[in-house]
Order: sequence, then structure tokens, then C-alpha cells
Amino acid sequence: MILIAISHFVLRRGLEAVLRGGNLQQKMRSTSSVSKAMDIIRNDKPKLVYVDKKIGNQLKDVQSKYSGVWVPLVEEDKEGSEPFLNWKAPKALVLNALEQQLLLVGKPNKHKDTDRGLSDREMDVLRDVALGKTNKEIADDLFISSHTVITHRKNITRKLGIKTVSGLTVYAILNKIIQMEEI
Amino acid sequence: MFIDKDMKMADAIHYNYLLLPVINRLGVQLGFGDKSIEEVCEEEKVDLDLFLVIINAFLDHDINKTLEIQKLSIEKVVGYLKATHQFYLDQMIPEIENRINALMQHFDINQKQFLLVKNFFEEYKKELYTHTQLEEEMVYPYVIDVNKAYHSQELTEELARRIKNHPINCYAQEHSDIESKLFDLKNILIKYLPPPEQSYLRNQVLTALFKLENDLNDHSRIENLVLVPMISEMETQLFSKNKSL
Repeated sequence: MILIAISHFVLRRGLEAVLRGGNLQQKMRSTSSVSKAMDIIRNDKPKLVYVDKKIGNQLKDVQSKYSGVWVPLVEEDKEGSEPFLNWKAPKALVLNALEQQLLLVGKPNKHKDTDRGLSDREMDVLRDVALGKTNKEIADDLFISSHTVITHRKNITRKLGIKTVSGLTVYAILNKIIQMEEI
Repeated sequence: MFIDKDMKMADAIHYNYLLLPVINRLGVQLGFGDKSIEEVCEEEKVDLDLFLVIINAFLDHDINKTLEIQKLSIEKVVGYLKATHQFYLDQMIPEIENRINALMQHFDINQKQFLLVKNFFEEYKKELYTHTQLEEEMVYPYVIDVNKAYHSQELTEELARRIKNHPINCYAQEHSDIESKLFDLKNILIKYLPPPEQSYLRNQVLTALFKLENDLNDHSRIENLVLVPMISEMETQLFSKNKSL
């Protein structure tokens, strides 16, 4: 599902129309209300959220816990790799950006079957997280990049429904992934 | 159903019983007969606008569209938020603790595992204390200061510095960890702790946790939808009037 949380009526309806015009495979909801947006994000877990500055500011703590793709609406291009939508850009650029963002969430989930169990690699990362290691330490330990560690951690949280380090530690002990004496 | 001033107070409670502690914190006690919300508020000298905003925010209605939030008294909003803190610390947390202890007594086989959960809750409790303390010692006094400066139009240099370096938006992030820990605790109890002998007792712990979560969500809703926008607006206006700063 895609959520459009934009206060400006014309912008909101415009983005809706443009998205509908493409070959959209996703359901879409839109709102101008912060509390509705909060609700939809909590309950329906949209994969993609478009949000303007005004609403985005009020949703900061929701965003910090959100695992999908968060796309702020901006008025000029930004540096960096985080997705954004510059709605003032020329048409071709806007369409291109939208297409990229839809691709991020539209891909069929190859790992669907393993959604419940953790992969071996995720197990390794979980063990290290539970032992209190930092992302950098885990990366060195497993010979992977910090970026990959973060991706694994996101997937672990999504699969287990546990977000904090101490919660993961309890999980790891309950499931005998680590021993209580190790911590 | 949006709660308005002409509704009977009793009907609001029938509509959602979780409002019970909320109306208490606002200063309304049970036994109000068939009076409407407006009548009860008048009798108990409770601010009607505040009452409607808080109740409807708790029920997650869109208060921005229907109510005039800007008219609320900042002092009263802060007073309500403080009362919710008190309620968590004095009532909800001890209640959860009692229920955890009751559950523990039936958990002979895996005592050790259960201790983990108890420790996790202890950790959570500490964080909740720290968080409420931070709000009461830092955030709310700041909010009151901005409000005063806004109404008197006298901005001290120190307050100006604080507005510049630590505007109210900085504090909006602080809630997230408290909510995450509570979320984790629920999932550990629901999904990962081995089956208990007394599922009733485990349900009791979970029910209490869900209630606390519900109430905490409301607390942050009031902060994010009422307090932060109001103060943020005052900060902006104070600055635009004192361009020299």
C-alpha cells in the first residue's frame, strides 16, 4: 500500500492522479490529517509514504520506527541517497523519480517464504547484536559492510517484531541463540 | 463518534470505557447522573475546550479540523500531561508489576527465563521514569517560559538562546524508545515466552501493557498535535518580532 500524507489539496490530488495514471499495482490511501496518517502507518504498514514538510515534521517519531520507504516532498533536489520527490522538477524527472520509488516497493518479495524464520546470516547478526556489539564491530566480525549490517537488522526487526537491543537479547536467550552467561 | 459538549457524560464512558482514567485526570469523578458534558464541566470547573480536545484526541478523532486548539491554555495542557505521568507511575506501573509478580509465582519450570522478562520490564520502568523526569524538568518549564514570553512579549536573552538551540521540535523524538520497548515486551509475552501454566495471568499482564500503550500513545498525541504546534508557532512569532536576535 502507498500512503500520501500531504496537506495541500491540489498537490495531494495531483500526486494521486499521477500515480493512478501509471500501471499501479498497489493500493493507495491519502489524507491531509496527521493523526490519520499516523494511524494508517501504524495499522496498515504502507510500503511507501509520501509526506510533505508540514506533516513530516509532526510524524518524526513515527518515521523513526517505520521500516518502509519514506519519501519527503521537497522543492529542490537534495544530495545523498535517501529517496525524495522534488515536485517542482520538470515532468520527466518527476515521473522518473516516482518510477524508481515504486520499483523499490513493487518488487516481488523473493524471501516471502522465509519471512518467519531468520536466515543463517541474520542469525549471526542477531547473535552479535544480542551480545551488545556495535554495527561497526558486527561488520568487522562478519566481514560485511556496516550498510549490510543495518539491512540485516531491519529484516530481523521486521521478522521478529522486536525493535530494541535489549528486546533482541531477551529473544536470543529465550531461543538459546546465546547463553545468559555470555552477556 | 465525535464527542461533543451536548453528549451525556455517561454515554461517553459507555462509548469507550478506557476514558475512565482520562476523565478522572481531567478532574471529573463518577456519579454525575444524566448531565451533559458541558454541565458536568461547568459544575466541576473543568475547562470544557480542554476536556473535548483531550477526550477526542484519546479516541483518535481528528481534533485539528473540529476543535479550536489554539484557544487552549498551555498551562492547563501541561497540567493534564503531568497528571498522566503521575497516573503511569502511581497506578499503571504498580499494577503491571503486581500482575507480573502474580504470574511469576506460577512459573516454576522456567523461572530463569521469566527473570529475563522481569528485568526487561525493570529496564523499561527506569526509562519511563527518566523520560517523565526529562519532560517535567526540562520540556514543560521551557513550554511555560515560551508561553509567558509570548503573552508578555518580553523575550529574555537566555530564552532566546534556548529557542534558537533547542526549539520544541527537538523533543519530539524522545518518545520513540519508550514505545519500542513496550512493543517488544508485548511481543515477547505474546510470541516468544514458552506457554505458561496460567494463561489467564499472562493475559492479565498483557492487558495491562496494552492499556499503558494506549494511554502513552494518547500522551504523545496530545504533545505532537497540541503542545508542539502551539509552542512552535509561538517560537516563530517571538523570533519574527525580535529580528535582532
